Amino acid sequence: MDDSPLLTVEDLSTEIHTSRGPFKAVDGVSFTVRPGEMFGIVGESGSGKSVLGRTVMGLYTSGPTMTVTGKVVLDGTDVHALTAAGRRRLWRSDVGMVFQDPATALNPVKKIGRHLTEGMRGLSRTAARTRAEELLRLVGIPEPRRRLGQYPHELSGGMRQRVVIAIALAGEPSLLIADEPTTALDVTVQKQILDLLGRLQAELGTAIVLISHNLAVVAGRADRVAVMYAGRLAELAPAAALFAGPRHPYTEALLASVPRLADPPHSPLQAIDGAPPDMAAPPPGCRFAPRCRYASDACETSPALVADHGHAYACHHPVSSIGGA
Amino acid sequence: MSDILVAARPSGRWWGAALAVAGLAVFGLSVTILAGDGWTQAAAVVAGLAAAYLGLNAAGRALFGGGFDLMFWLCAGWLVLLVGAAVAAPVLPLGEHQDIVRTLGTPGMAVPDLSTSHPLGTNNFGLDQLARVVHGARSSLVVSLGAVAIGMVVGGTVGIAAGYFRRGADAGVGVLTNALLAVPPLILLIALGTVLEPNLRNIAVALSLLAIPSMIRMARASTMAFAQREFVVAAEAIGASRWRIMTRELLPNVLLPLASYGMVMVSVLIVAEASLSFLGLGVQPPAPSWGNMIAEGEENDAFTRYPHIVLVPGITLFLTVFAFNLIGEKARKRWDPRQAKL
Amino acid sequence: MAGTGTTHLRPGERVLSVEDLVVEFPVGRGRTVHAVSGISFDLLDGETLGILGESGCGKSSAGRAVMQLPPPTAGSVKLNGTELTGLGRSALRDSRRKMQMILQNPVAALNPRRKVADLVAEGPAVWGGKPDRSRIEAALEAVGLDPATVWDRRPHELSGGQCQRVCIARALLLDPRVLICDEPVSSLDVSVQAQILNLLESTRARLGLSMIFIAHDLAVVKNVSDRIMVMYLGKICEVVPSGALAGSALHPYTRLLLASVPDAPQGDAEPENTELPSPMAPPTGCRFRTRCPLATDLCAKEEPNLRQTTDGHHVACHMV
Repeated sequence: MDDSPLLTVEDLSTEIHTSRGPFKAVDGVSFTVRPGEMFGIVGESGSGKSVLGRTVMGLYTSGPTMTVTGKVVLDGTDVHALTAAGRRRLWRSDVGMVFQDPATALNPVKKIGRHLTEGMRGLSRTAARTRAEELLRLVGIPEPRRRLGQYPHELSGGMRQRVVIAIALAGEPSLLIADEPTTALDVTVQKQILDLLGRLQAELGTAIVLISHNLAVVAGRADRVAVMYAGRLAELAPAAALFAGPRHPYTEALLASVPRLADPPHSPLQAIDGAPPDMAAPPPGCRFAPRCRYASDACETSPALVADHGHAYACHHPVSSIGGA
Repeated sequence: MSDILVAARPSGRWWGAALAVAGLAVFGLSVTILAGDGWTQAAAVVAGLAAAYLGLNAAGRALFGGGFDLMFWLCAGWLVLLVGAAVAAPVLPLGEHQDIVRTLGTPGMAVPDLSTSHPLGTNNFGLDQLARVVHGARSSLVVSLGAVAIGMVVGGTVGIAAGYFRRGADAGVGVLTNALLAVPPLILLIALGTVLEPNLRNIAVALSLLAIPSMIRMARASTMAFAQREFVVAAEAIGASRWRIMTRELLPNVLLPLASYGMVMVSVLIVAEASLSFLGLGVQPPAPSWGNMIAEGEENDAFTRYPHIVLVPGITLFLTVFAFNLIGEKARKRWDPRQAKL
Repeated sequence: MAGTGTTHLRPGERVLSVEDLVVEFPVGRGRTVHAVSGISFDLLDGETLGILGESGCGKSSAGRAVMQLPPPTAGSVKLNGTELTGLGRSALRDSRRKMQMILQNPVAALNPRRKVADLVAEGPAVWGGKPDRSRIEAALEAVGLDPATVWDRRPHELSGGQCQRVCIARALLLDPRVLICDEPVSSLDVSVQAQILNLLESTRARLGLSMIFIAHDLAVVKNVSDRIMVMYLGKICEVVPSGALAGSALHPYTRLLLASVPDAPQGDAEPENTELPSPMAPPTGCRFRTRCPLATDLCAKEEPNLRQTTDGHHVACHMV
């Protein structure tokens, strides 16, 4: 695997202006994604993970409703230095996006075939249809030729999400950003979509940024995982290391609070006190400090993200140094 | 970035205030000094007002944040002024508004002149136009607000019941509202106007027939939107009776969209009342109403020679309807259950 | 009887017993959604029954039909031996006090225009006695809320977890015997879910409540339940003691659910048939046969009945 990164995000902040004043949905986030890598971003609602995904994509740019600072470089191109036309060119060929709800991501009055062929340039009608059929076969849709003539409502939720993925793959992108791709789907379908993403990553060498609120979704699939809390990166590490030995107290607490199938019934859960902060008035210093059992006076200043053998965390009291966990 | 925002505030405030002052100065000078110079004066007045508006809006935004809307406050100010004047009309030092015996010595068709005792001029009987507009506002507002109040009570009750019970009640109410909406409103009013004695109460009742069907629809649609919400199911699960659910759970939520719709409806009914009076079926002269004041412009070709006869009540009507509409629209957007998140 | 059987029902004293529950909704043009098609279950004193299934399996409709919100199309619901179906309006309202419901979206379950204190006091107020301040404060404290802080707040000023606590406090103030929880944590933040699950568990133990816990998350259902009923397209597939769910589940659908847990090992990438048949025209025989890897002709002809395999474990399948 080539070691030079495909995507570099540097000190990225997205400040959203609301009637109640501005707030930073994403606050100084930096990370890189290597070619062909599956990169997981985990966070709760309001953690800024979706805003981050859309800002990286260039869907969110500076304007009257928000201010973006920092840098997003994809394959040598600074996404936020592009013109609107340049960004559209980028979306057509270099980066694809898979949204949370496949029901709203497709236009109900357009047939599947048109959805797929629309973005293709310089192809004859028949060539485009052949290519569309290939794409549907690639994402595991049975009878692709018949599906081309169908409308979105004739497909089940799982099939629609496969179509959305096929559309994102049409330009043979080097990066796919999947924002909660399985949240709106049923449990049995969710697993298949995740397996499909894993297969595409392996077969096509597409790098995938998989955004989810569910730790289990990224576990076992992502190569590296970033944990977000209240707009900032709490921890960033190879998946195996993160799940085996989390260093940030938030990650540790989150892993401990989720019920496991292997535990006996009625086992008490280790809950995290409190609720995620109001982003319009976040706590000073470490955002997790008010809910953290290791918090001390030092936590009134924001901890920097420090790397320890490729395992980065932003905490004054990383878990193993206290001997906890 | 936040530093730039903070820095931007005071400069926006001073810049806006300066523009506003300049605009008002242009306006004042053009009214006083350029008096009589037709188009030049009109252009200067408009330019001055526009500059003042933009300046005040910018200053307001800098002071109170981006949500500040000067037009809203101007409309609200106009309505407060109008309602205040209408309520206080009997004690205000106004000229004579309806007793033509007492205006025998006053010149008729006097042109508006702010320096005289008839700032908005007089009509052909010498009655003071300002006094007539203010007293006319009394009847216009009493009639339209009364009609909307009747519409909200009747339409709200029927609409909530229909939206909550659905089935038979809903079907019956649907037929009724569709039938009422199918009758051309002016024909309905003319028919009622010929049968009923034209006093304020009867006019209000007649106009409420225009308000009721749409009020029913609004209340029914809001009720149905809220009845789907989980808090209504939760109340049923506690064992709340249907009456309690309608009055305690649904009514407070339906009331706000209904009231904001009522604001828009007031403006429709002010026009309807004016039309009725214009046709001679509403408020009877010499008692003033905006409709019959406008109708005076018809007689003897008065409008072409003395445009103020029509313009004074006409502009008042326009401003009032505009203000009710704008505020109602803003309130509706704020309270519409289909847009409300919580 | 062409239902899914009743072998799993237990004799003797039961808080709640539901037999042959059918819920159907007309959807216009003469079509009917068969949400629940003849299911039976019972609940012992202090027991928690988990109902597990995907969206559209009828688990929520079943929970609401037990509450008579709306009453089921057919079947019997007995609470402490009293038949609830066919009760008059006021008798029904009275019986609802004994069963309380916790809904999926706690913010939507609270009237946005009212304050926390009024919302919690609503239950007793409906029954004619506005509770005194100390009782409301005690109820708020019991669910981990500080009465002084939340007393005058409105729902939108609280977090989702706090709203769910308010809902629980409101339900408990009516002193119910049965608590029906319909996906009570699925709309909450991950870090808050454990708080609410622990609260429900400790409350149940403290008050000796019986509970029906409806959810789609296997690990969550397993954590709170004593027995688990797996539903598919309006029918019961399997009733299993929760300790045995992960290890000895038998029904092919339960096994599919277990294999679909996202962190389960990556499976065969080729999609099997995942199309959920329309609940307006469910398949004949076994409803799961269109997606079942074991299906035979028998499954299309004959509907399997629940039968006992080991003590307390019942499965409705011809092939296992």
